[in-house]
Amino acid sequence: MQCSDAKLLIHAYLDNELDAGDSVRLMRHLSDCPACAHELERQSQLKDLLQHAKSQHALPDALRARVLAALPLSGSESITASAQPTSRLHPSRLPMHGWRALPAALAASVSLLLGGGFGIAWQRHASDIAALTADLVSNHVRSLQPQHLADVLTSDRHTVKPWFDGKLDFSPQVRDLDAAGFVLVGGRLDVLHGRRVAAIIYRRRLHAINLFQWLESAADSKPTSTTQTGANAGDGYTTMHWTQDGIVYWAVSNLDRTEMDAFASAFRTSPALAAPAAH
Amino acid sequence: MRSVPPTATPVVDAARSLRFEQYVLPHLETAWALARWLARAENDAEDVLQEAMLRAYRYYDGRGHDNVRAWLLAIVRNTFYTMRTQASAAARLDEFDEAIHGVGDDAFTPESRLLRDADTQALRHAIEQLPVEFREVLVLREFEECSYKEISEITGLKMGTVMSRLARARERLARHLCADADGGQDHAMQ
Repeated sequence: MQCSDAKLLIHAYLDNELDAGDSVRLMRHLSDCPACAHELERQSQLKDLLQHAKSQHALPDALRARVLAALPLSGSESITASAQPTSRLHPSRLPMHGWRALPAALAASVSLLLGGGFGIAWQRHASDIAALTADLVSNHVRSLQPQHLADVLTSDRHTVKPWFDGKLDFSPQVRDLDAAGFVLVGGRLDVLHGRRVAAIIYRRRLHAINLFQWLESAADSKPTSTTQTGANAGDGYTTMHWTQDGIVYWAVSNLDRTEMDAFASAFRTSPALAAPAAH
Repeated sequence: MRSVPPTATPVVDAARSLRFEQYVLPHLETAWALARWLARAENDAEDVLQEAMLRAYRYYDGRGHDNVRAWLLAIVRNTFYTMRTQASAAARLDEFDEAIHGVGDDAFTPESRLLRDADTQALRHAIEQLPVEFREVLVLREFEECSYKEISEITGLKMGTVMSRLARARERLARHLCADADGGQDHAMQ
């Protein structure tokens, strides 16, 4: 190996980007060449030194605030929960700071969400709800890919429910909503924020509805018997959520609000197949 | 690769916006660090970051964890170059003066101690003196901890070029630091 090659490969070596064969060749060269060995040591020291300079540029809070304020998001100290179509506003068409005068409706819809009495601790924060909504919509969209909708594909709720046995820390609710025009398609094990949740799939005409379910957090002190709904409609997707008997429900589909209301209402009022899940 | 099937309606704007908050905004610090190292002057860096985040929002395609960081860094970098070109009337003394800083190619001198003793202030100064094409690969590698492959994606350079630029950046830096430590000179050009 030439010194010129070695001087180049030293860097890849220090960056852990050198493959085994070249590493061996480099080491062989270094053992014969004090100059290159020295260069390796020098560059290694430089790398160490650079680590000290690393965190020199912390982002000032004021700048963070300015950057967020210029984006058509709800912002960090504000709320992020609702699917209000604020993002349709193009940045260049917005006065840079004026957009923060968000419609009162947005605030109202958020208080609806926040007042919803649903349980899990991480849901309490608006930004988490935002993230949750986004993830649920994304899980929903993913489930619509071929072969992704259901793990257990049957309209028989007596088959769907036992399928989840041992797969979750609770027994999901599978109800027969045929009478209301929502056909049971099946069930799927889904993952949300690192925890396993149940997705029960219903169909209305050609529209799939994912009804995500998980156990309400024990840390939550709110009474579990309350039934609350929150909803938000974006361009094409509607989410609704409520808590009933210790289970948190989130329904996602591209049905409109009215039909989703009907779905949620039908589900909440139809009898449970088995005893309500233990809390 | 898209995660949205062609048959599905596009994910709503609102959902996209939420994903932006969830996946892109956590990299704001990273974006700032790159903007700061590239633009050097804090005011300029602020402009770069502001503009870059607006662009990022505009072009965000809903991507998740996969490569959103590299994607955002590429936007910061491109924004920097665009703004720099626009502002090029204010001539920048970006060129690293080999005549002053160069101490020859003889690396085999007892300079290791000097290098070790160079303080971080001098180090930052030395980094800022690097020509931008060297500075960016160095910063991406050492401060943003990007792999060569990511650097290649962000800069559009070939992997081999990334490696050789990085090598040259560090050689210059080492030489510069040793020259400074040696002579105590300060060749600030700004």
